[in-house]
Amino acid sequence: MSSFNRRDFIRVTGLGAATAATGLPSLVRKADAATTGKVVILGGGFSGATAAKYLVEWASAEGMSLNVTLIDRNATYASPILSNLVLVGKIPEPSLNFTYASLSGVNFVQAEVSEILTDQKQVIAGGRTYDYDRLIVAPGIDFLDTNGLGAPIIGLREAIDNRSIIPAWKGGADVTALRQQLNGIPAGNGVFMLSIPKAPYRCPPGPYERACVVADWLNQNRPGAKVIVLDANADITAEKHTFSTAFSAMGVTYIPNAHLSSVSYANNQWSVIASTGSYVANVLNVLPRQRAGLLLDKIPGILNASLFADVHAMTYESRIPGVHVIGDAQATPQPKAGHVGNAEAKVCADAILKLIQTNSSDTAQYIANVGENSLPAVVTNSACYSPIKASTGSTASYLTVGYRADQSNGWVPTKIDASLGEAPSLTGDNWKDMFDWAENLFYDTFNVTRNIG
Amino acid sequence: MSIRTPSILFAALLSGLAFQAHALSLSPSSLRMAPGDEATVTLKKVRGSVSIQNSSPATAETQLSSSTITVKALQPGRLSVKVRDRKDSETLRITVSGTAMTVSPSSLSLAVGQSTNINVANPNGSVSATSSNSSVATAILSNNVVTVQGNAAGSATITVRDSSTSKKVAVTVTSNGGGGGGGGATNTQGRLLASQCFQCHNAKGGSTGFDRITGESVNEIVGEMKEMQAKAASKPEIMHSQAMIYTDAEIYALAQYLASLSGGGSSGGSSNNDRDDD
Repeated sequence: MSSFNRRDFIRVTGLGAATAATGLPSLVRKADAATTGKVVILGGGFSGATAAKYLVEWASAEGMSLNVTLIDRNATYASPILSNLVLVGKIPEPSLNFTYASLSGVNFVQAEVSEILTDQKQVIAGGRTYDYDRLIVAPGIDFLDTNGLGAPIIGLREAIDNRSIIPAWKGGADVTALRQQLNGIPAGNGVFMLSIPKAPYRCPPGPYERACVVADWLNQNRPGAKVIVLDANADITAEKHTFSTAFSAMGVTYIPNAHLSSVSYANNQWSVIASTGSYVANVLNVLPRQRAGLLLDKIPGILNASLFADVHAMTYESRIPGVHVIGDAQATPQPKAGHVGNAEAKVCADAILKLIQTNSSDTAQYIANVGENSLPAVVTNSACYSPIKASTGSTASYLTVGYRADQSNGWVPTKIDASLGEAPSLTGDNWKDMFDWAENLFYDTFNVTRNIG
Repeated sequence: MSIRTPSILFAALLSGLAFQAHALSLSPSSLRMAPGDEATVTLKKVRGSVSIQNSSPATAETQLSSSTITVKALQPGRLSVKVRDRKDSETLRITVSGTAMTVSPSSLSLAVGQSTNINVANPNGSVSATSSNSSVATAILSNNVVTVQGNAAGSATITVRDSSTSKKVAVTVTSNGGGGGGGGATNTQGRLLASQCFQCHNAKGGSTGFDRITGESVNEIVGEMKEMQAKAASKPEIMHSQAMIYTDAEIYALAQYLASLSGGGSSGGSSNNDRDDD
């Protein structure tokens, strides 16, 4: 988190104390509390859709007339959660596709955003102008061409553009396309090579999970073929016990500190040059380094040097007043993942209602107006289940941890160590719980019930 | 029964009920107590004036008032208390052993929205904690710790009971300091916290699997969360870890919101999976 937030907070703390001394009534009883407002949300993934749903629900419960518009370039959202099961043919791709039709009270607009005018508080999308009081941007992630050392990976951009390398890190048709590549791997000596980018990237356990389910699939369907993992990180970044155990059991080769420098395809195989050596593979699945979604490039000054957006954890307001960033694009230490994105969205939605009700122009004013003693607890939780073995005798793991942001930690969401839990073993119960978790999360986000698994 | 001589035994056999109806008796006639315990013994069929003689007042105090004897155990030991009326004498035998339950503190003050603990030491048998006024303060017992939550300004008495004694803690809840669940008509603090449960436990609608968390009382939810916290270290489960995220005040606030949801989740799951709140 940037020092910008801390300085900001120290400043508003003084204001808050002064205001409290004058006996300003609490926001709920404030006679002139604003009861109308316009919120525009850009991006309808787990974070954006959750924010839309809860803004409508809570505004209605408080008797507010809130206009909530959700804009996304796609009519359908493809969940990356569970998509490794599409990759190995366990569940059909369409079972992870969601529309916004069930989010009653949300105005959904399918349009490409062309301009974000933060001074005028306007978004221009599909040729129309949308005014807002508060803007939420939830654009997810996009890819970089450089490796973990900042050097370019020669050949990567072209390979992604011509779809010979398919990251398949955003769900949907890309996952099915990677599945077709996987199908082409020969038994005997075939290699599926997975390149994991330097953190932070979307879904910390996700790449290791992919290595496991693919290795399991190869063991069942292409005996002798194997998975090689080239990890730009110095060690497994999540669930180390789970994945190191599974890698040994499944014969996955794990190579840490591997930074790619070039990829090229000739004679029906990939040649990969990395800081750890040269490799060949039948399928090369590169997960590129990541940054905040490109949509944020339309708002000058909102990104930090790491190309994510600093936010104040109390409201998820960015450096740009009136603009909130939630989900994978924001820069707090919380993981980049759908479940915790959903949690961030709720904190943001709650804060936006109060920002509007108290006529606060930004987070500093909001804290002053509400008063330090009346601020809500900013507590989020991350949880996920990872399939490990998707064939007969299916197993899964889980990982969970909570985060708290408050004055004492400078409003940086900080891991609550006692709440860190990793599945002690890979079990069939976890496999069943995985579907319950995903189903509930899908419902909590999109108001849609599926019966997957 | 005081059958001391063959002649009286003979008389008893002859006169049966009539004899018993006129003999002094004590109920109960013996006591096992822990230091600090108090007990009451009732005198029956008293004829004439009564006196008592305590063999060891330092072990247990005894006090006579009309037809009852109040006993307060002070320290480990044995004693007998001779009770006489005009016709008979009876002996109350008392054994004081072990240690009595203690609670600390004996009184406390907290603000609305805050919680604080009462520690229970050396309880005998099962323990319970009740509040004389749960709209002012709630008492939740878990692992010999009573979590007292301030709900509204006022006074309440928390009574902690074990199988041999009870202790009272005077609680004063003040309205200053702390917004207490958002401080307004809507418990937005609890609502926001509770919404972070819904990723896995939907408040309403269609999903299956994990336990339903609506349709329970505040005390049930708080009790379950405290129990899961207690198990987090020894029995790793995803919800035991999750429970560790929250402070007592937060647990109370989210429980209050969840309990306020009208039944919720009628189709909220088969709830046949009880792994999470065993």
